[in-house]
Amino acid sequence: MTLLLGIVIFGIYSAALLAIGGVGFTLQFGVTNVLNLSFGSILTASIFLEYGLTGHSTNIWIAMAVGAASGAVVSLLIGHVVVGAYIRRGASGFSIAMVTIAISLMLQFGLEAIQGPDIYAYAASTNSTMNIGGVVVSSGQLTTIIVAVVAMAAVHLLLRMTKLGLAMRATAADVTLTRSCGVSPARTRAVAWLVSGALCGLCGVFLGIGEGSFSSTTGSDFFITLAAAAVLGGIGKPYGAMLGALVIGITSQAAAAVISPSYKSIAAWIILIAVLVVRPQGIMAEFAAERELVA
Amino acid sequence: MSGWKHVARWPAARRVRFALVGGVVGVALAACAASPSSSAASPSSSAGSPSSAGGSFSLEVAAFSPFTGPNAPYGYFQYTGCVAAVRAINAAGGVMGHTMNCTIVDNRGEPADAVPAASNMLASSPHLVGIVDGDSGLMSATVPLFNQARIPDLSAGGDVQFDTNTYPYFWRTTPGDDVAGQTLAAYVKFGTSYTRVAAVFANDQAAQGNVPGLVSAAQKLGLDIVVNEAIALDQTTYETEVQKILAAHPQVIVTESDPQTAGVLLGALKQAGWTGPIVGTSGTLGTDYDKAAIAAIGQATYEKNFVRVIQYAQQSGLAWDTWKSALLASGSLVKDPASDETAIYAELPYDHTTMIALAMLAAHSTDPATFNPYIEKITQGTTVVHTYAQGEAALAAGKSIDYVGVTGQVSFDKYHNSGGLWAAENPVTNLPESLVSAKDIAASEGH
Repeated sequence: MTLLLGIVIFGIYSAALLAIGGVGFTLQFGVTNVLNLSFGSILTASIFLEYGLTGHSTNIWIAMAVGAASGAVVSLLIGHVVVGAYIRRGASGFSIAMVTIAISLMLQFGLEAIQGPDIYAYAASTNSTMNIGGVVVSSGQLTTIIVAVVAMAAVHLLLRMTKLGLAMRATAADVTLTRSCGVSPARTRAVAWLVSGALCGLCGVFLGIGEGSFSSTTGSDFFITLAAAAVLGGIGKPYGAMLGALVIGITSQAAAAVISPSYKSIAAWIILIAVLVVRPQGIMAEFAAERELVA
Repeated sequence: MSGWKHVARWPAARRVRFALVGGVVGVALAACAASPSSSAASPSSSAGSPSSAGGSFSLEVAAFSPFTGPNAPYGYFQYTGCVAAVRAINAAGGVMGHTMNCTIVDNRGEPADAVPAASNMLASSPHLVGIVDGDSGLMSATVPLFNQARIPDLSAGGDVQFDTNTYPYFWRTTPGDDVAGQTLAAYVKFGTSYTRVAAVFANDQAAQGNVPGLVSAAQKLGLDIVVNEAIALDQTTYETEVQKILAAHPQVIVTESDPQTAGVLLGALKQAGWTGPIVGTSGTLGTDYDKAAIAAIGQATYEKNFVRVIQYAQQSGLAWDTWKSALLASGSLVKDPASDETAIYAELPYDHTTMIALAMLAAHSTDPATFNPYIEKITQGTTVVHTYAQGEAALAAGKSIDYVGVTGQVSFDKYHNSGGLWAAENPVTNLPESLVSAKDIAASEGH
């Protein structure tokens, strides 16, 4: 029973991390139609910036603010300035995806060149713990789950209750029509990059502090699982990313407990492949229509 | 000593991820890093015989290691050791009128990158006289290439397949990973009072290389492996795994993983209330592991509860003094050399590079094919020498030498493997808390 409870709790914790980043990744894709493969490196850059700017502080609120701001700025620079330039020149979606890979590698190797290949560690964790039915959970893990829930709620409110959210959804659905309604797609996309980056930075902070240490490859390592959650839910669909994160988080914990820890990652991928066979568009998405990249 | 496990076990999952994101570019970078010139000569024709090139040239020893990517710190261990040795060798007049130098060849710790990197290195390095490496996971891919090119490869890699290899140009002064597992069991049996052991190793090749030896030795020594968990690397949580481990009520945990995995795992153990001892392998060696572990459980707990069973190198005597002096004088080429004073992964390539140089002197040749057999002969002579300068003087006096460097006595078996001394060291002070004797290890093997 304790093991089962542990699977659920730590599955939710894993899902929380994946959801924060996954929603950012898929939201930006949904609005801009740009497959941003530099997302993992933005995440890494956010951790480095947060770590450097706050003096390795583990004050979670300061870290969250700095991490989110860092991610937002880096994401905006990459998306609006660099990628935007390619879009304006009519580059294809594939070309732009390759550009984001190049940016990712530049960021990763740049960080490695500047900071060295070493691991960076936060101060030893002083998290208090709580015993829930025999399962020991740290305050940091609970905070991550709560922040993820709040972030998801905020994204929901943004998309459903604000004009900006309406503009985002409209841009995602039909750029031409959106423009004819007086909404600037470019501005909407910029906001999408900003929000996506903020969530990316937030995810990075929780990932770094949760793991206690990080390096120039931390974000790249995490990104594939994060992207898998987004794809599982339906790429471009924030609610799908939340659901995908939950499925992957709990599946991987269950595999570790029931089968073997070695199957932790494999199980999540098996689920992904199995779901995509049945629903190639992901759990929650409709088939995505081919759309042009328009500045 | 299980070889250079961090490098060896770049996690499989990470490999996939990294390959997805940057595989093509990574290969290109590795190839570029390994290719100081654009020579298209075949490996065998270009790398074979420095002595035939004529004139004055510098003899190259390649530190064939990852210098980018997550395992890059381990490449710098190799380079640091090589640089210190070359400093001492050149200070003593070089090798038969030639200076020596160390070159960095970045293999990224990946077979897909390492093979082209090795090929480029062999094709473009006409004065290459030796290779120092330590990468368990790459050995099966790269050792055949080095042998085909007839370049001596002095390795610290722990791939167990090489316990009985017959490659003439392969030499290893650390035992295979299976012996490291036996040594862990021997330490638990004879160095502690515990009998219930949890084996928690990462699920990569090098870390898992310890497990058969550990399990087999535990059985022979009457230890009980109460749980044997192969953990996936680079996960964000290990609490579920830890629940399973602690449910088996172990008294001691033996482990190996990469630093970031260790940080999360040790944090989860602490969170679950584990206060017992943890025994690490040589794969837990390095400042990155220390940083991650300290971040997870705090320095006081790390110092008190963690020991690392590794190949033991003395920290006194002429060999040590010479190593330390050469290392500290290498500050212009290596970062923070003082931090590597007691790093076995830097000491091993130091001895390896020195052995290459002494073998050339003993053979009166810089041709790798000619001096290769002398790599063993310089460890079998009658005059014990601890430094290159001592060896040079002894050889000049017509004596046969037995090089006993900073990592101790070398005694190659017919497979070109040599074991070493072992100790359980404190991870913070780096001082041995207890030695693991050859008798203890023999007992773990059932002798």
